[in-house]
Amino acid sequence: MKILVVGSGPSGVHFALTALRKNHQVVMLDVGRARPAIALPDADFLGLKQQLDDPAGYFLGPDFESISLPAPEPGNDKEYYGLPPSKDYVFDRPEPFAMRLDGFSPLVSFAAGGLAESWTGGSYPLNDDELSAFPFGYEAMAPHYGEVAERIGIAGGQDDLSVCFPPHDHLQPMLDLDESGARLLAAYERRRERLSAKYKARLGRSRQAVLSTPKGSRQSCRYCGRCLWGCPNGAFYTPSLTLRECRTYPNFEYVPNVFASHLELAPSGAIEHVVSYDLDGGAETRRMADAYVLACGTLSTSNLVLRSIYRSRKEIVRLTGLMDNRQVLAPFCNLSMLGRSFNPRSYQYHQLAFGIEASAPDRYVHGQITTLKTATAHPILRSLPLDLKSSIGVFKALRSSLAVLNLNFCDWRRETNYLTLSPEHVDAHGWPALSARYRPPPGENETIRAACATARGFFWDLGAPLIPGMAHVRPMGSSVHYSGTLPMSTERRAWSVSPTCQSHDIENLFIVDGSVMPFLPAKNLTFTLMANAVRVAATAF
Amino acid sequence: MPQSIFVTGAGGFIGQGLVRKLAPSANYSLKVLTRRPRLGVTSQVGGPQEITGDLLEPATYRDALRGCETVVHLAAATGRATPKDYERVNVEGTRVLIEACKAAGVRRFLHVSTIAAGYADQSYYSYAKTKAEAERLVRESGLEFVIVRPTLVLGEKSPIWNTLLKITKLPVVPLFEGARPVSVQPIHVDDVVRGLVRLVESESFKGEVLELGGPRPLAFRAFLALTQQAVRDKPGKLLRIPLGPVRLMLAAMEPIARPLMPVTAGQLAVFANDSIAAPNWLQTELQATMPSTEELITTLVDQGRSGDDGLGIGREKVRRETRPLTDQAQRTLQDECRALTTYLVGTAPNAYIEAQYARATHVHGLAFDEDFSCFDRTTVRLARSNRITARAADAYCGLLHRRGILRRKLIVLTAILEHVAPTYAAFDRVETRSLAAMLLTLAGHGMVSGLSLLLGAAVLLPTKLYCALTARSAPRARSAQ
Ligand SMILES: Cc1cc2nc3c(=O)[nH]c(=O)nc-3n(C[C@H](O)[C@H](O)[C@H](O)COP(=O)(O)OP(=O)(O)OC[C@H]3O[C@@H](n4cnc5c(N)ncnc54)[C@H](O)[C@@H]3O)c2cc1C
Ligand code: SF4
Repeated sequence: MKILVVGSGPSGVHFALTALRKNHQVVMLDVGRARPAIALPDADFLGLKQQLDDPAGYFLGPDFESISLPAPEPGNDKEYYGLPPSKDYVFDRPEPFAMRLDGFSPLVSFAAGGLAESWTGGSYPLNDDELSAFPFGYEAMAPHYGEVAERIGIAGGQDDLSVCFPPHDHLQPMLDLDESGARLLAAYERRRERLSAKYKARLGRSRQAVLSTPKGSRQSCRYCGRCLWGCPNGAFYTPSLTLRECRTYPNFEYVPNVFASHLELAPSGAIEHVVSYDLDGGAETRRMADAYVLACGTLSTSNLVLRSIYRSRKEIVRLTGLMDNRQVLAPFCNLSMLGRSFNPRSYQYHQLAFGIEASAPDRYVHGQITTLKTATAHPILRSLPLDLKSSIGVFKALRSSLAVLNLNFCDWRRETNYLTLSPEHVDAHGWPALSARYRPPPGENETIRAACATARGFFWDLGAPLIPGMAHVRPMGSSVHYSGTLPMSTERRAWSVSPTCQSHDIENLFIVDGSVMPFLPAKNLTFTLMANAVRVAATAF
Repeated sequence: MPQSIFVTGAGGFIGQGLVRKLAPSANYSLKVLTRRPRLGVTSQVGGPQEITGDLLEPATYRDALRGCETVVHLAAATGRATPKDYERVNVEGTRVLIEACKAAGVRRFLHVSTIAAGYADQSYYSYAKTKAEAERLVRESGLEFVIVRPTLVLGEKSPIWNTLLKITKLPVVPLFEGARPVSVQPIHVDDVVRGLVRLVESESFKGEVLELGGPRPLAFRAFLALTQQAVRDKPGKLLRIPLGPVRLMLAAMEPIARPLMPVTAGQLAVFANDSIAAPNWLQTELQATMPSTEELITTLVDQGRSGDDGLGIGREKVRRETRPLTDQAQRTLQDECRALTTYLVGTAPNAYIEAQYARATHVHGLAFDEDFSCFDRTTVRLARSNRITARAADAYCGLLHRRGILRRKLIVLTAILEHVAPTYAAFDRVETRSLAAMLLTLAGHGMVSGLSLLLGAAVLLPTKLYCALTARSAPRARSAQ
């Protein structure tokens, strides 16, 4: 069977790999911005500062655009993501993509490998409670979680928190924990009974898509501290590694540098071909296949579907149910680290996770804890109300004890939140722009306050108080877990897909990214997206 | 042949809308008077021709007027200018422009005034008085003219609208009320622009005064309540404040404290007068296709919420500086880099750091002293002089002037220092200390920081007042509202 896949993000590549292994012919269209070469692969983080010819250019960008400055006018400050110039290619937008935003400020990626080229690797399986709105339960997903874990490598283990993560195969041993993390975990172990009874909350090791033992050509983590700037030895998983693997298959054709514009629909409602534009020349190409699989990420996939309907029926529809996890960042100070040093040779991303049981089982709150090791200091320094010299002094004294708790809240589909096209905003090619609207659920503030109160008590009891007044509710769109606009449903409802992710509206169309999630649990979704894409390829093709 | 039109105040809120509307049309050839060339616009094929000049110096635009058929005069001093500036720009500016028009043989004069020019109660309101005076000059000019008086003009970029948005976000909104409640008739800027275009297109200027308002008059209170509802998704509270005493008090403070005051007594005249349009043919014609006031407000609120600039990884757009770095500026930045690096990390910078600092401040628009406000310039000079004053200025700005130039320069420098050898060690050195030693260090920082703040405040608070008072409240020629 000839399958045309659009998008090389985590969803696209894992779908493709399974389909390739089943001997299907796979053509993958992709904008596919490519990663530039990695600078000084052997250096560790501090080594970069010492050995690069132009360290300022590397860390701050050729135009110093990564310097985090206050906006001249209050109220105009943008959400700070702290992503380095070496990841700019991940967010480089091709000209045909424009968006209108209302209450929602998303990131989109057109990179080979997608958004997850700059992800932070948190990989958590969903349990039966969290899958209750899905047309299948954990048992159906378990083998696919195992398959993906085997492909990408996930370090994690069994501890008190593991009850929240159902077991699957192919976990790698855990990475070495940094001192601050180890002290927190030890403090928790000592008070475990009391803390979990008092707060209905647990602390444990995170699940991270990073190798603790080598796999093929990928080396294991060597604790160089460069994770954010780009792992130099393939220890940290990104989807471009799987894309590379796909490209070794003779039945795979990768077509980068094209923008898929829309699907041309026959009167019967089936797709005749997909229309794409060459990004250099603008030439239009039509491609046909037996089945079409969209894996462009929820925003782009929805855009493609909306444009296709607009083109064939001159109709603008609304894809409702747009979801994203609300995130709250709460910095805290691990007092037991005061006066101690930090180790710049550490794995950088979150090594601990935190879970709060909620009123309903699927409303679980998921936290990730990142202790401060290698980092860009000036955004922290500038946030203090002191002269910068004192800020540097205070920062150095407290550095090893600083950490941040990132709380994630689940989201569910609501009519008020949708993607559509905006006829008032037409791009240079005459297409109406993609437009997103999001309003938080009623009662959200109370939910956030309650979780923060729990965390405040819990971390206080651990000897790691949250820093008062510093918790920050991130704007919607910042967690980058977009989903829900074309959900899986056993009923044949408009703008939904079957349990095997086949469109109920367009028969030879399959959708395998976040669009199909009928509910968005608090745990990071990408592991589930990959496993689901594998499930679809394994069961529907 | 296209009609040749000369526009003053084209950079203002109404002016921008007008230029956007007229520029693409082949029926007009547009010349706009600007004080600073706006980059890129001049070179645009078919775009308006920019005349760099000053309203008050007719020599700068006399030639450009020649051959023009119509002048649209939007430039005016608005906001919190001093009475002297209102007089200079609004009256004198109009006078010299009229003279220049006559000399150049311009036939038609479209004068954009304000509803306030017709206020019965113009006490303390120099703006209104000077606009009324300007109207008189136009009437007596002998040119063919029309005067347009817009009421409350709203739009995404309207200064009034943006102030209103801020105020209505508050849980309680102050509402000044005088002897009787007043009414307003808010109009969308696009409708004002439509009216102006209609006039420019029309055959004859008949010396009319045309007031332009929105679809219907409504009580100021009702207008505030509608906006509050749209902004907060729920009704808010209004707090009534008696107008008379407040105006009196503001008027008394004004001569000394104007630069520090959020509003002037004059601006409160909107609460003492109705701002509604007297019926006229243009109003009737425009009204036919206006959205309702409710729609107008909700659309504006929604526009404020949406935009496409939210997409991206949260970086400030780097303003590409097109002026090259002069030798003089380069030297100043080098000295500055030395002083500030010594202050921050205790050592002198190497040549690489100096070069990076000069480049980074340049691309971030922080390189030219002459761009800075009086106060910013003082803070920067203070910081350049030695470590102690640098810390004092920084401590003050770190608390009270956090978006100022000095703070931005120091953040840029910190970002460079933390990433390059050898200074990164000042940030990244791995240190183990006893808890007591660490607490002592923290206490030390606290003390020095506190002292620096006191010193900084002692020097900079008086400077702030001085700068505010002497600010030659720049003769801002903006469009009338
Ligand atoms: C900073 C950051 C941290 C994150 N951390 C985590 C984490 O810890 N755990 C987690 O689970 N998730 C995390 N995520 C989210 C994760 O990256 C996304 O959920 C995931 O990448 C979505 O995968 P996708 O394949 O569905 O879509 P995407 O990653 O968005 O990929 C879309 C692909 O489609 C292509 N494409 C799009 N439109 C077109 C078009 N019109 N024509 C041709 N090609 C097109 C693009 O080139 C790209 O290859 C993080 C994201 C970010 C940005
Ligand atoms: S995962 Fe991070 S610490 Fe480990 S090798 Fe890669 S960059 Fe270095």
